Amino acid sequence: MFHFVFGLPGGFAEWCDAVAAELARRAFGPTELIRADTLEQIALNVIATGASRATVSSRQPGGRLRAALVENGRNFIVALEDPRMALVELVLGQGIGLAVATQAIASSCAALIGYAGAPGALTLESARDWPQAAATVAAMARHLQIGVDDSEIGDLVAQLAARDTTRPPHDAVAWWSSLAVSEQEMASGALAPFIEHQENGELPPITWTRDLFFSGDRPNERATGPLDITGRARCLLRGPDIILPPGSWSLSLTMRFSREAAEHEFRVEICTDYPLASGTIRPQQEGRAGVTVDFALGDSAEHPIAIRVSSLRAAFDGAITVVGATLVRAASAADAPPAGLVPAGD
Amino acid sequence: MIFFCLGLPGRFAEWCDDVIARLAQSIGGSVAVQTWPSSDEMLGFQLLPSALDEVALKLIREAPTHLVMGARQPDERLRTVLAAGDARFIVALDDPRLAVSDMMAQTGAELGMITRAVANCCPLMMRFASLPGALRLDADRARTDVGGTVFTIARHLVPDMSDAQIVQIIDDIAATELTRAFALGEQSPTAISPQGYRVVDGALSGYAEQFRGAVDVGQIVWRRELFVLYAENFQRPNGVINVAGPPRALIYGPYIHLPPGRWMARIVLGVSPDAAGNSFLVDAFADNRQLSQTVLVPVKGGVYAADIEFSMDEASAWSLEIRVLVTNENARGELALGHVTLQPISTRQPDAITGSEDFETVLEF
Repeated sequence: MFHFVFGLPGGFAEWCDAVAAELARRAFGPTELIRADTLEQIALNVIATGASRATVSSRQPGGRLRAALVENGRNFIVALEDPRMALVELVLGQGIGLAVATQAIASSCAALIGYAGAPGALTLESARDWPQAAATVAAMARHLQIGVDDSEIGDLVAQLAARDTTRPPHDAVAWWSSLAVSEQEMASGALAPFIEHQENGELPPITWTRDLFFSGDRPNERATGPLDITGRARCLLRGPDIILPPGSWSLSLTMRFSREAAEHEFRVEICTDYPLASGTIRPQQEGRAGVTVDFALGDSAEHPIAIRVSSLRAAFDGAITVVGATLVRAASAADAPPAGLVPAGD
Repeated sequence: MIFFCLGLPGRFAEWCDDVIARLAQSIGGSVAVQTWPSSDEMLGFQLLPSALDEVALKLIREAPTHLVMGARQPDERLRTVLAAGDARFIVALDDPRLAVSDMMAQTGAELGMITRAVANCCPLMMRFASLPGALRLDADRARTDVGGTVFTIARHLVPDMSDAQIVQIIDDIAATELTRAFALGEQSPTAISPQGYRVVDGALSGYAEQFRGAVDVGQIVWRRELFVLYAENFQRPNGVINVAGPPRALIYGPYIHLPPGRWMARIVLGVSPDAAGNSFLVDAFADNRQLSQTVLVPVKGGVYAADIEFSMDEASAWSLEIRVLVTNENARGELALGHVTLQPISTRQPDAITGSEDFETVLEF
């Protein structure tokens, strides 16, 4: 038997993982806790461990896994948390860099959108459900159809509470205030739309700022400054490798071009594990230019989105800089400019 | 626990699945058996979902204690996983021509489709059989010693199972209809015509030899009954094809996997005298890209061989397509496909075909 817990990275989802695994262990015997976002990862874990009982914990679950659970009438837990608190937890609690943490939480938020409202979901919210731990554990047990009595639940809550007292508290406000404006914009652009979505179901435009992208020449280096285009035609920029919710999307990528770079054309490709769409930026003059590209993601999507910008011919000189990418869900993108050059003053 | 049984579609692999399911039952807990892909999936032209995805789906669907995964067309990803770990599994090898016969009896599908389905199962089997965790079982040997084969499977997959338990399973399985039919080597009731058998034998005899110990598959022959005529309805190019008209594809298919490596394909075509001067493009296509091509411009009517060389990648998920196109405007005359011979480059033997024969000899009327 497999039980599934999906959630944002952070303490609440980990607590829900532990609850589900412990409930299963007490009711059925030894139970593995496995991390898996896709069907393949579940199979790999089961082959590796030989487990026939497991709690599957996932932070960026894919669409095919959701479809499998829904089609087979399986119940599961969705542990939601304020993305800001999840960010604090990753950065201050686990020492993960801000850009990496932003990517992970943005991907998680997007992946979970399809789960929270799906049949079979018990959606728990950290602020509401964590403080009343015993009631939440009882609700989880009922939903996962694991028979345990009240004393077991009390014992489990006490056990987990003892563990959680070791977590140091974080001063989120002080930490946020200490960030540079560009860092705040990066986190807000990628995460704020999902906060609004949790609150009212709307998904405003998502913005990916340049700190989320990588140099095409040096894949581990962030594209925080101008990228030299000198040399053969090649991929100059890629990223941000963030999951988007399924649906039709319109991407507007804006970049800044030096005078020498403005003489070139640049190919913009959007891909997951396969190409989705492409466009061309023809700057024509120094300064800002961009392109709008429409694409669609199916319900079974389970790979992050990457944008690639490539030069189309060799260059002797020039530089490009990412300004940012804005993604609008097609339903609210009716007035978006058509694909092609989007001139903008510098 | 997950038990993998890799084998061609047919009675032997089915019997092995049954043995393993009984072994799993004797360990305790519930047992699910999943045969993957289904016959419909094997006969279809869609890209198959991965074997690992199918494992997870079955676990979610039925939540068994043990899963017996009967993989009939195992993929490269599964091989990588089994190679990386210390998983033990079974590779059940039978003559693929018998698999065609069994599948024909089960599905009643067209012979060309079934031959293609079985041919797609063959290329990776030997690569799985060479992995450290594999127990390779030969159907002929298993037929003569059913009990010994059950014992061997049990010792490989469940080493701590007692002799008494295994003997009990042997006794139980000996009484089944499947074991009786398998052990007696009963042929499936659906007969294949001599003409049909040539199609099957050409595509699969190389694999049958390899399963018996040959170094590689030697020669594969894809007869025209495996190809598709470019026409409104699904048709095989079994007759003379009228070339007259604009540039277009004439023949394509058969969408069959080949073992990875470098290959020579010889496409034998018959051309009517009035088709001389036309330009025919012959190419090999896989993974959404052209692998190789050649152009044939016959100077007179007769039989011609177009040779192309290409490489198949290990990780290729797509099967091979050979296409014949007429590329000139105002084409005229007639063309017929004889067959396509494929050989790994290392084993290719030169042979000669001239353009002097009558073009209809290619049809073997």
